[in-house]
Amino acid sequence: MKVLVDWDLCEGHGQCEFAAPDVFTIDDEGDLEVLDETPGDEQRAAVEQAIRRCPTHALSLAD
Amino acid sequence: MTTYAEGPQVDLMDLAPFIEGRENEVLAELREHQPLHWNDEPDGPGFWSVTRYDDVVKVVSDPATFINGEGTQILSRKVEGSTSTVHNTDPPRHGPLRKLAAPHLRAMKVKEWQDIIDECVDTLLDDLEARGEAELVKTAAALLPIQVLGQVLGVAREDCDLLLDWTNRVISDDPEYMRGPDEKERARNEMFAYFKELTEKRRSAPAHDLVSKLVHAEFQGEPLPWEDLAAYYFVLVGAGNETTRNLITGTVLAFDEFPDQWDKLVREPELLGSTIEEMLRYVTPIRAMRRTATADVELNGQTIRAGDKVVCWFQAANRDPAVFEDPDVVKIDRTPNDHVGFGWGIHACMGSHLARAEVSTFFRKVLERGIRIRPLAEPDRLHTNQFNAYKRLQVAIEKEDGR
Ligand code: HEM
Ligand code: HEM
Ligand code: SF4
Repeated sequence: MKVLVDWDLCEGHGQCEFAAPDVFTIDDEGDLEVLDETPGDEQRAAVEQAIRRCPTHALSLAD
Repeated sequence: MTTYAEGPQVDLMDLAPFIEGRENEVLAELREHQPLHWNDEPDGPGFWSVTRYDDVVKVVSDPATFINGEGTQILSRKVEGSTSTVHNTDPPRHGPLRKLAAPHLRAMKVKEWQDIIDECVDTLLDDLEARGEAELVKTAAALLPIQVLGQVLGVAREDCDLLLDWTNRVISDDPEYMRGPDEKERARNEMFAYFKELTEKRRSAPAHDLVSKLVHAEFQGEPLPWEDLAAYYFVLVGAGNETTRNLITGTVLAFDEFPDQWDKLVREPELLGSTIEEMLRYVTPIRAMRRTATADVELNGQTIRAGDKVVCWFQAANRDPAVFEDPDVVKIDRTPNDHVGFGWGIHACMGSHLARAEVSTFFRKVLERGIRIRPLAEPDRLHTNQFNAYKRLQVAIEKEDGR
């Protein structure tokens, strides 16, 4: 599973961190940092929730 | 405007069901039969109510069509005066304003406050245990959020009592907290003066706290003017205080209603994380938030007109059977649990990690101490439709057998 971020859309709201804190975090400037671009399957549910929660639809998954 | 033939007339400005704890029946009626419901207001223009999960998410996910800038309370007023808080602000100003504080409240940062949270919880539980019987809101639920938030902001521990008193007087429309007719104004002024002094102190000597971060932050190339700083402090205090205390009180009540779920948590304390999520769903401290339409929109076969108020009922969405199985039942191991207790979209709660840390620490330590907090009477509720808020709850603190 590979996490894709559309950086033109991401506004650093951090809803993704809320859903999948082991995969996404927000740095001190308020910008998104992907901690794990290829998370294991045990993260799938959390990452899917992060994708749904992102208000700008900046996130997607490639298998 | 269409009126529905079926079902009883529902008036959400009638506070009786909210005060008596029957509001979920009213909200269920709307969700099932009148998913877009028009409510007249005696002293206002009236408002639409959205109660289905999908509709609530749709509205709060479209901040261009449904804005916060015209106010977020059901009633038509903005409370913060000349400027606007991050909450009552729309894009493009909203994102950059939110970024000033949000990074400092994220999960990783909240870990730095864990020692303070532990210490506050221990002191409160020592006191509760010593009393054996107490009024939970005053002796614990109201104290924890303000003590923690105060220290996160940079208010000295010994001044947190002042902060609690001001917020009780500013936040409450309740005569019982009011010492005179101009009390609200006076409390607000005292709090302003306190934060003004704190701001100046941190301007010359920054410390490891949120006031320092905001004072030294740049917003579009400039430091925030005093009005915007004050609005930021007020929204954090306003949003972080009542909400968290009501989740604590609401959780105690929910476990009284579903004692088997408490027993389950005692056996499986690793379920604490999903327990807190379930309580956010079941309790929903913020029942609803309001938006205002900027254009005519079709929803459920009706037209919302530009300028209409649209109230999103998170509480109704959180019990939508289309999304949650047995929605009126507490299941501490519920997964997935995409509740909207913290809202959804660009205005979703900024303090969610702090709130989770506070409430889960509270109940983790209750579990570790082998005690149980048991309601002795019905709670007294705050007289409001927008918030699920408790004024008083008498409880017994019992040592559990065999633990
Ligand atoms: C259990 C406790 C809490 C609950 C249930 C809660 C719930 C919510 C909800 C539902 C919203 C969305 C409002 C909307 O869509 O209009 C919100 C926004 C907000 N919350 Fe919380 N909250 C809690 C604790 C906190 C804490 C501790 C803080 C501060 C540290 C905080 C700060 C905020 C702020 C600043 C916003 C506005 C964000 C924005 O408009 O961008 N909240 N909260
Ligand atoms: C259970 C939750 C809450 C309760 C019971 C509550 C209640 C109230 C009440 C009764 C007022 C006084 C209004 C007036 O002055 O007439 C108030 C003010 C305010 N609330 Fe809330 N509120 C809650 C959550 C929130 C949230 C989530 C936010 C922001 C995201 C917020 C932000 C504010 C602000 C900024 C003020 C204005 C303070 C001032 O300048 O007077 N509150 N709240
Ligand atoms: S939720 Fe979306 S916009 Fe926010 S940080 Fe994550 S990817 Fe970016």
